Amino acid sequence: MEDVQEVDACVVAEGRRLLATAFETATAGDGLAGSGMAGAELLRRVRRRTRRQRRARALVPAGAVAALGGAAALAVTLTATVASAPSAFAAVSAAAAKTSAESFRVTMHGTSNELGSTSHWEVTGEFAPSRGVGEEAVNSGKITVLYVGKHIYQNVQNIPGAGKPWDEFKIWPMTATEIATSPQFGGEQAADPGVLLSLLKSAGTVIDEGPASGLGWTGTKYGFTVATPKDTQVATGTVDVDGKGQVRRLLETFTVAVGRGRHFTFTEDVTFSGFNIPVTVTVPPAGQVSVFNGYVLSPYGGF
Amino acid sequence: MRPDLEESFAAFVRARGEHHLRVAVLLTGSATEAEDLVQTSLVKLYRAWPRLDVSSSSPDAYLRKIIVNTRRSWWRARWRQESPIASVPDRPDPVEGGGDPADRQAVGSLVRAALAGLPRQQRAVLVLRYLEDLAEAEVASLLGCSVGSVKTHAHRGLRALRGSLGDLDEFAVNETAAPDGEKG
Repeated sequence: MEDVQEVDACVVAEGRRLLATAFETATAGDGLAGSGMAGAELLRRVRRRTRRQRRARALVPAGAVAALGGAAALAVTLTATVASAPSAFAAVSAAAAKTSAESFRVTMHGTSNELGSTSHWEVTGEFAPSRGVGEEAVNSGKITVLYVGKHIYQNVQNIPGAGKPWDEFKIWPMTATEIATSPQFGGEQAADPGVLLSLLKSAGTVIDEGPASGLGWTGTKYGFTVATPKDTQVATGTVDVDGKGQVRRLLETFTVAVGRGRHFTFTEDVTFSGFNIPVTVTVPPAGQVSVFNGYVLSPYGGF
Repeated sequence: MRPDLEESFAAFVRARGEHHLRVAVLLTGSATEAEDLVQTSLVKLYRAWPRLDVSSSSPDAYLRKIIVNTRRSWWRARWRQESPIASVPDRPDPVEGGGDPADRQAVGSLVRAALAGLPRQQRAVLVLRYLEDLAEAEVASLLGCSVGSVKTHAHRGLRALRGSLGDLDEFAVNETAAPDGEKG
């Protein structure tokens, strides 16, 4: 990279004028920007999208389990004609609860796909959800995320000279409904595996798919589906539960309708190991932290 | 959401929605993508609205961060294929009988096309630094890069923008007075 240098003031002034002209004459989509009605139209469209999400939360089927954090139960529909075997649902729900109560090491491999274009990400970390602590590295440390009680600390790219390296936000506890109806993790953002475990407790369909095994463990594989009404968002997958009732692997695919007839698919392949390892997370020194007062961040997917 | 919070959110979108939409057009280089980006970001803001302390935190700054982060994750997920144009398109013919407004529209169109031809990070730095008037440190924080990188992208971006636009004299854009507190 060439030597950093200040930009000539005249060049800056010209640049500002050009950008201002581009801004003032900009139109968007259906000629929205510049119409004088853009703000009102944006509001109308945002309200329509949020109303769809509120309708998804309105139904409370019998047997739905309250999501992590004690918030409203997930709105789910049974998507299979075969009802879930009570033992399969109970086994998966219990495994999610037991795993969340322990500490563990986790590796998450994610893939997103749209029209054949694929991208990948990887998260490694250690978590103790019951104590509200965790630490993870996203994409080989390009982002480091710390979870400490009600706060998230993000360090993007660990770049020296970027001012304070850490951003602090309050955690916005996600209900299972919000998990199921929110855009999914698709890049370098916070990814708390506890959020994915909590979704299991609200699965609408769970089926025993037979034996499963891994290095040093044997157990059972279950298939599951979580869907919102009108299938605006569907999560399907399998979960491997070992003989001790712990989740060993969680493979979930989220299909999200993103408008204009398009769909976006996310897949998360999560493996759990090292149960009951000691997990210690150190809060960064205050002098290295920019506190975003009044701002919140969800623990899975960021904003 | 409580009615007073609904109204405060609605008032914010009515007052500031178009501004962020226009900025998004420059950031993305695509009118349609800008609409998608701002709408998605506003939905995220709506969900967070009851939890925000708007008396101590600017909704504009928070929305800006959401927009930049959302766009970055879309780009990394290849959801939005960015295809920078290889060259600035032919200049539009002056509107028959058009005066200054048409010339201004033409210049604006050229600048947006030139912006779209810049690398993503240069484009973002130019828009955030010289249109949104953010300080270098704030731009660095938003984009997840160093202040030095912001300076470099700004320098290269302005040079590339000017080079793409060439001679604009034929459009005889009325020069406006330099803004107060012009920053270097």
